[in-house]
Amino acid sequence: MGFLDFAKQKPRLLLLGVIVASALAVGFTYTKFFVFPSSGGSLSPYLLGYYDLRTDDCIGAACADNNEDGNPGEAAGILTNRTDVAIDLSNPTRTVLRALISVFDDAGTIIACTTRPVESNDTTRVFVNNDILIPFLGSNGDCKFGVIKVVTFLEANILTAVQAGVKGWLTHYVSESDDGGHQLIFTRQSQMQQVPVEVLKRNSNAELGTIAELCL
Amino acid sequence: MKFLKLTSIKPSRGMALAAVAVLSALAVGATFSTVFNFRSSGGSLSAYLIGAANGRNHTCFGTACGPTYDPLANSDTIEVVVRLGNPTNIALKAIIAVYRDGDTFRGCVQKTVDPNAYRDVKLVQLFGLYDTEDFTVKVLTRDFANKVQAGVKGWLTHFTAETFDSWSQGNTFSQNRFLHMHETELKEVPHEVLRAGEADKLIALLPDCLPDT
Repeated sequence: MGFLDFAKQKPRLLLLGVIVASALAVGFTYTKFFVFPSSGGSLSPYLLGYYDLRTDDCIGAACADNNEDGNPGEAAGILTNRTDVAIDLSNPTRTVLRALISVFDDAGTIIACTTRPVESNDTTRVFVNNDILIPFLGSNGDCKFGVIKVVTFLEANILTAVQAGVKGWLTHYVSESDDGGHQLIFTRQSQMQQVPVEVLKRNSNAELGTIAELCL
Repeated sequence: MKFLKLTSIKPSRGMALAAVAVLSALAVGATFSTVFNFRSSGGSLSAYLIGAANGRNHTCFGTACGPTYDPLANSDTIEVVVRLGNPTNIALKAIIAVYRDGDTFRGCVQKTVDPNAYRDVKLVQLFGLYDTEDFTVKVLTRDFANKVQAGVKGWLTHFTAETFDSWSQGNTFSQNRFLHMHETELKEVPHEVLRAGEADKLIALLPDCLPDT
């Protein structure tokens, strides 16, 4: 297969050749990587998650067994367990970001906030109870539940440059107490969900201002 | 903003090719600049969410049961919790409906989800799904003008607990403790599916829906 000899071409044709070759090169990059072209993937600067720090040993119908006297069974050792929720944020981009992590109660009122840098290829872990609620509220957040919002900014322009680039996960940990302390009895994990940036814009700067005031 | 009207350009092959190439290159560049310069290239919201709930209260499943264990030994209790969060600044009403065996309606409840608020629904406790079937959970959100409106994200958590007897002051008590749990997200379904009749079908359930409590 012969190749175009650009040196022999007139300037206009040369320019055209460079443009076409550039466009083709972009296409080749994608086909080389994926065999089939990529059709998805997404990044948003606005992530939503939830936390549930209720310490019950059972929930709803999972508590429904009956006693010998016919009364509903009781949850074993209510409030003897400990819970926390880890937020893991990973940055697959080459941009250094800062995450503002705000915690709301179940009625939708912001109750605490913190901020963390998330560097390129970095994974940052923050615990809702240990790292946000306890320092912020001065007391344990056991029994609280609600949503978590993460908004990411360029590290160099916090609050002025909203920037997508972080993926997030949530892990709920529950441990039970025994004579020697606490032992982990189960975990569950899901994803922080990406919300379109248009929603963030529509929520107005007032909310971001409130979050920033608490966070920074 | 005006757009280039390609049909008004004289049909010169070279010129058309150049235009296509330039537009292609610009499009790629524009895509990247929107990703990395303050605009989102993703995230999604749908007014129609779906999840898969498993009502089986087995203590083991499939080959995880081993050769001698009866997987239908229903000694445990379960709960499935739908969790909803609203990241928008408008209050929404969610219809949460449960189906089994295809199109068999099993129950429905309404929940108001205010901005930044969190709501959850215990499906087994509310609808009595405590048997050996699989269930489909559907969530439709509307605004307070009763128009279909996206704006809620959802999660689905399965809990399995076991019962055990404890003794205190001469009496035997039956108590529960968690064995395990797992969690996933409610999946977003394109609104075109709602427009193809699913929205009307879900809204028609409202007379049978339990009120928000």
